[in-house]
Amino acid sequence: MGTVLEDVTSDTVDATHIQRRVQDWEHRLNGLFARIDDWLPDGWEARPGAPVVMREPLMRKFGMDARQMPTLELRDRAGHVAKLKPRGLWIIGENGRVDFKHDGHYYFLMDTADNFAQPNWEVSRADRRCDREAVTRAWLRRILQ
Amino acid sequence: MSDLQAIAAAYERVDLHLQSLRDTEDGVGEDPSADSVEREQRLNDQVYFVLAWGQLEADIEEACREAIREGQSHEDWRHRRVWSLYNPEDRRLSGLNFENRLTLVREKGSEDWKRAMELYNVRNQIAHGALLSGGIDMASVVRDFFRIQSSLARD
Repeated sequence: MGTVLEDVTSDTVDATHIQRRVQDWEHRLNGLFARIDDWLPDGWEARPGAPVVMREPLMRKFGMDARQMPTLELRDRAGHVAKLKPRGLWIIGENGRVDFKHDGHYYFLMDTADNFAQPNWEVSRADRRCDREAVTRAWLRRILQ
Repeated sequence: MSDLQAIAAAYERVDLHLQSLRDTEDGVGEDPSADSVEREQRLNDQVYFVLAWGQLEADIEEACREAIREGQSHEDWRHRRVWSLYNPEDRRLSGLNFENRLTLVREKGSEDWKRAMELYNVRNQIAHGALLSGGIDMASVVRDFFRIQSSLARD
């Protein structure tokens, strides 16, 4: 299936592969956001945020146009807001990262699966990156409450 | 790898600062300033990766010297003769390249051996001037470094 490491160091990667990777990334982001929406505790709601532009160096290298990627905003009745934004797809050691900002803290949601495999999302706080855990309903509720 | 944790902690602080700058720009590619912070983060990843790699490489080299010394001290000449080709006190280890050094202390083709070689190739790419087109998850790489280090054969 390959990894990001292979994508960024291989001579055999081509535009078709990069295009498939970007499509797959968008698909995984939508899947993650749907799951987060489903897991929200009472009083919170999710809505699409302003899309972000994805234009990573490998896309530029193969002449691919920039692409809009989805983001997600979470709000509760008291006005608290959390935002999820895709940070990047090609990060060695991961298969894409989403930044999650809430209550002054940054969290990194990282897919640790191989390319095109079933996603395996893990999370760490940005200031405690060695402490990782699975992205679960329990994790989300702990963070938001 | 006595300084690896300190290097990882320093990286985390710098990257967190860049992260907050990027969040302020809030464009993720839409405006040039956000692009510039993103580029700085990628550069910073690679700077710290090469620094951290040096910690693992030094330990592999030391384990290799120990293996040579151990081999040379064997009582049976038939075991000793192969090891006598190398000088453990030589700064360049008698011309042994990295792959062969690693192979002396970790089984060739094992998962850790393959991972170490992959990361060595990344290190070479960066150190020889071809910067990566992606970022690096330093926490994951540091975890790999510790796993590889603990798997090295020490006689």
